[in-house]
Amino acid sequence: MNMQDNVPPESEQNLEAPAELAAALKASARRKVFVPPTLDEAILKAARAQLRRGRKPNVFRWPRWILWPALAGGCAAVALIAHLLAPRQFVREDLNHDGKVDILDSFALARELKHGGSLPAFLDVNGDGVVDDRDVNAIASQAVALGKDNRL
Amino acid sequence: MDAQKDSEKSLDTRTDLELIAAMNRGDDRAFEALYVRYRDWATSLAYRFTGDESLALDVLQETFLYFLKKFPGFKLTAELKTFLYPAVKNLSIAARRKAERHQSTEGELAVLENHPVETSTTASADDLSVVVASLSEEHREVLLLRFVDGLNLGEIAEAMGIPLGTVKSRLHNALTTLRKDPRTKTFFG
Repeated sequence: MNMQDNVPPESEQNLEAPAELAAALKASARRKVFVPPTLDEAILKAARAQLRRGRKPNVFRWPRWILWPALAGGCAAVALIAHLLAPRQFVREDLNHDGKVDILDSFALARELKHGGSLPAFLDVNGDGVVDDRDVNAIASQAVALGKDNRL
Repeated sequence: MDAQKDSEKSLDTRTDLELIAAMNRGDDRAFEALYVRYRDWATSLAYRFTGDESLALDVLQETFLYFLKKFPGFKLTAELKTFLYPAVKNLSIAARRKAERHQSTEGELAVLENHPVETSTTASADDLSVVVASLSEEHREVLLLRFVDGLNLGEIAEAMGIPLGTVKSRLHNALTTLRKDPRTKTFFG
């Protein structure tokens, strides 16, 4: 920038040209150059090629904010599946492995005793060292005992 | 592209921004509409810089190819003219230099050194062109951008990459020269 670049503010009103001058400038400086149709076509052809190359397939994009909820959901799903697939632990008295201790478990033990043979030690429910009818009674007693809320 | 097709494209009422957004999505008809909208201006500008129709057409093609390479992902932050102007100018200068290198005699070089604005030597019919041609290149450029291309002062500053104050001073000086010159002072009443 030199000294000439400084224009006093009062001179800004002189930055407009009279309409006649503007029209004459346009007439003298604007020259219509004929553009051959072949050039138009060449440019448009290049445009088609370039824009097609850059055209992105119209695919759905997940919004970024969904990443964390999706991760949390995924973790929860994995935990649930692991829980479902994990081997279940049953209480000793739940002989038929139906998730509850009831009279059916005492029937199951009675049936095993009736069939005879050696029975596993874990069936010694009352802990007296032998598996016998007392264990059947112990399970039956437990099955019919009232819970804390006085319900069977 | 015939005249009828031109007029059809020029009827596209979408703004430059809308057309550019469409181009970013791969719409080549949007480019066609923009091309029709700015082709003549760009060609005329290129001719002003090169003084040669053939070179102006080369510049036209290179300008729009340069523009196309910006896609996809082009963002228009100002008027499209202010984006295209430096491209046309720089490509014109390069084209002129290249043409000059191909000239074999000093006489031919001298012809190219003349400013592209037609400086008719015949009588007073083109006094204005002569006076404009006598301006320095930077003053002439601002004057023509303002009154021929219709850019406002801010757009000129952006297109030329110079401060607004510099645009004002150059325009002021150019108009002062025209106002004082006996061949053009009649325009100022």
